[in-house]
Amino acid sequence: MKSTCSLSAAGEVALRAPEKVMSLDRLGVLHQSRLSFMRVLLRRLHRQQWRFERTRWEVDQHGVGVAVYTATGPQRSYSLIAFANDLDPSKRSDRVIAEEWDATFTLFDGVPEQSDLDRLAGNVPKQEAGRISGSELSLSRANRSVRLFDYVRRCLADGRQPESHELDQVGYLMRTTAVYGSGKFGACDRRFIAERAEFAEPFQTELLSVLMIRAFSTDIVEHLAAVDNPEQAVPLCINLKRRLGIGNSTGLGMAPFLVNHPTLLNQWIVARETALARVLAQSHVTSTEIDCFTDRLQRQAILVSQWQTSHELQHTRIKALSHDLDHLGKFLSSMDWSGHLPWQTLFTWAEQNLSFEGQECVVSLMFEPYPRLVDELSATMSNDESLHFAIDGRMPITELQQLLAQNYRFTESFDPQSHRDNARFWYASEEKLEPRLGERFEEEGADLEHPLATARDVAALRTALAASECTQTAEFLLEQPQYRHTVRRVQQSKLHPYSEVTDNLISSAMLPIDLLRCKLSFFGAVKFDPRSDRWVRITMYQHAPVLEEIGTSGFADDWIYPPLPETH
Amino acid sequence: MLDLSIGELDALVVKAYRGAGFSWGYAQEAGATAAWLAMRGLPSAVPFALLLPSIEDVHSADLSPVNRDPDSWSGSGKYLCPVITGCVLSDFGLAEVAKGAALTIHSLLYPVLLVPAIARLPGSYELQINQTRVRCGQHNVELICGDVNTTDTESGNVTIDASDPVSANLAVRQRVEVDVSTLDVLQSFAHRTYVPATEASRLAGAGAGLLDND
Repeated sequence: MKSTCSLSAAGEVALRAPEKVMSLDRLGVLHQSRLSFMRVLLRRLHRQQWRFERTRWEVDQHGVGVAVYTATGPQRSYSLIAFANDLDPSKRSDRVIAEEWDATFTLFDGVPEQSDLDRLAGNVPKQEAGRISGSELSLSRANRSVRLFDYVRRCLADGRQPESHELDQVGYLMRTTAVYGSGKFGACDRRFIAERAEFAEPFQTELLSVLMIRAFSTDIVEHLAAVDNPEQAVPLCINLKRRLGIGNSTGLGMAPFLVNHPTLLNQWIVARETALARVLAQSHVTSTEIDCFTDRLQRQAILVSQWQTSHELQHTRIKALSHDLDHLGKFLSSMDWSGHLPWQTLFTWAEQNLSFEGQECVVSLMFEPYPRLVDELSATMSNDESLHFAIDGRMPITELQQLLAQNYRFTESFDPQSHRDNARFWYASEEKLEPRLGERFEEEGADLEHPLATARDVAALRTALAASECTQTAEFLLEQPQYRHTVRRVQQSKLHPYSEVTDNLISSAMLPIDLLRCKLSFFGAVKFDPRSDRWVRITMYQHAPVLEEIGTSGFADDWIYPPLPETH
Repeated sequence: MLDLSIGELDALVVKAYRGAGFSWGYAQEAGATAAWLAMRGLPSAVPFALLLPSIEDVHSADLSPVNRDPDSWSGSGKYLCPVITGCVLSDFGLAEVAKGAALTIHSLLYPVLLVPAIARLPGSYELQINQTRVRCGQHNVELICGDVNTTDTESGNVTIDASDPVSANLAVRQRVEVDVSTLDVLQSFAHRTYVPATEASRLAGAGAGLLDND
């Protein structure tokens, strides 16, 4: 079998083709990498020696109150304001339609005054029902992991450390259930802070918030343990703190993002594929680079061994991945690294022998030895989408048709008569505007469908263009304005060939968790645990340095891979 | 008054315009139009709240400039919609105007909503809207004389002429104040895009079912 990554005469490896990487069965098995936004954030915080300080802790014996954590960088400070709540367990739910949480948070632009805290105390705990202002950069909430929080609280109150294997089973004390950013509920729009160096890459405000929420989660459990038993309670030791990340529960609300931001998706995928091509083009590999790859492979295997899910498909994929990593380890023992383009040899083998989940994991692992080739690409992962918004009305219809032929082959098989191909519709529920997926032939509301049915809409556009006598896009859209949003996408694909998920998003076979996995892998999430086909739990920042280690020699960018067991 | 982010206004106007019965593509342009105006401190939410009740459920063809002579655009209906007209201007361009021939657009509703489409075109243009004159281009706008508000410019003929480049540089506004009654109108149109909740959709539509709390 021939690898799809071909070598040009100039010694550059071509990017994998969009039709290969943009299908949901690929996007749905992506793994975190050096380009993930959490790792980008921590690298910057460390490089710039940001300082973190808990400047306020006014939490009572019931665990109710306010805490402030301030992060200070070379130019600015940001403060996480946490409102701790004593939640009735019967009200604890991860759904968007919940109305109360164990804790709620906002990231404040600067250091808040008392008047800011008073204002936010009346709004942040209400989440979607409250209002924040241009001084706030995110709005979020978290619930305790019932499995782990009470266990850790009891251990600490009894004066002992919790068992590390118990922590590994869950991975976090608290789970965020929404982290809203740019402009939501009154927050500052991203466009007004995008010029700040610390927010150059996407989702840095949200992930900075989550990093500090992680610190709150260990502080609050220590606080409550001390309330329970002031005489005996002990703080959580730092090694165990590092072992605890922060969870997240994400549903359909996130799914439309990749479809609604096609040019941004293109930037993410191109960065990843460029990194891959750069690594594959290395003609020689040093022993240090091989050692790094081997180390990460072993640690990835530990991560996979801790990855649990009851979702049947993901369970099968994890088993295959585990087998793949084992298989790769054996292959490495006989690998001839002195040959020409050794990474290409390895990757060709991976493509021929491993599952998609395994192949994409290998892609991420191959980035590890190459910070100099990979890390700079994170700077290309943001874009100004407004630059690509305008429709080119002068584009000849023939060119539009060429773009369809070139970038939208996946829509050619769409059958407008097929119930299977048209099975679903995306909509916003009246209830808290929660995005939902309906069954077109069983439920009301398909007339209020959101424009996420790219395959159907492009297929219809193709037919309409063939029947039209117009020669120019402008004329066609004046006659048939219902195709305007689709034409915009098609035109954007001209300069952004990796902008489309090449699957039918209203098919009965479509799994929304694949869209979630793609986006969350770019965040840097691990241990994807689909709780159904439509929502997923993940772990973030597990094994990351705790706040006080950032900027010190205790920091290493390999934190996301669990440490190897200590040998004595 | 409510203090909205620009993104909130954009999203609200997209839904409201869609809720008034127009295509998603036009709705996206309506949102971008509102955001552009709000960032420059020009009327945005108010003209949209006034526009939508007057065009809801009118077929977009009847609000489009279907008659396009080089010096005169008009529609087949009573009025032209500024969002649709802006899209058509943007799609067809203003090559004739750029060469020096003035263009008059007849019976345009809330003409201030046309300004962003013109300001995004290559070149610089002067717009005369009743007694008001503005110059726009290079994503910028400046008032020459008159008052760009909505109450006295409900509809009118708009004349577009080539002009010198815009000299002023407006400070970008990061927020937009919207009064409650305007917000109510926009939200009521936006509400038409939401599907009423049912117990079945609450359970199945978002995919819950397993215990979400452990």
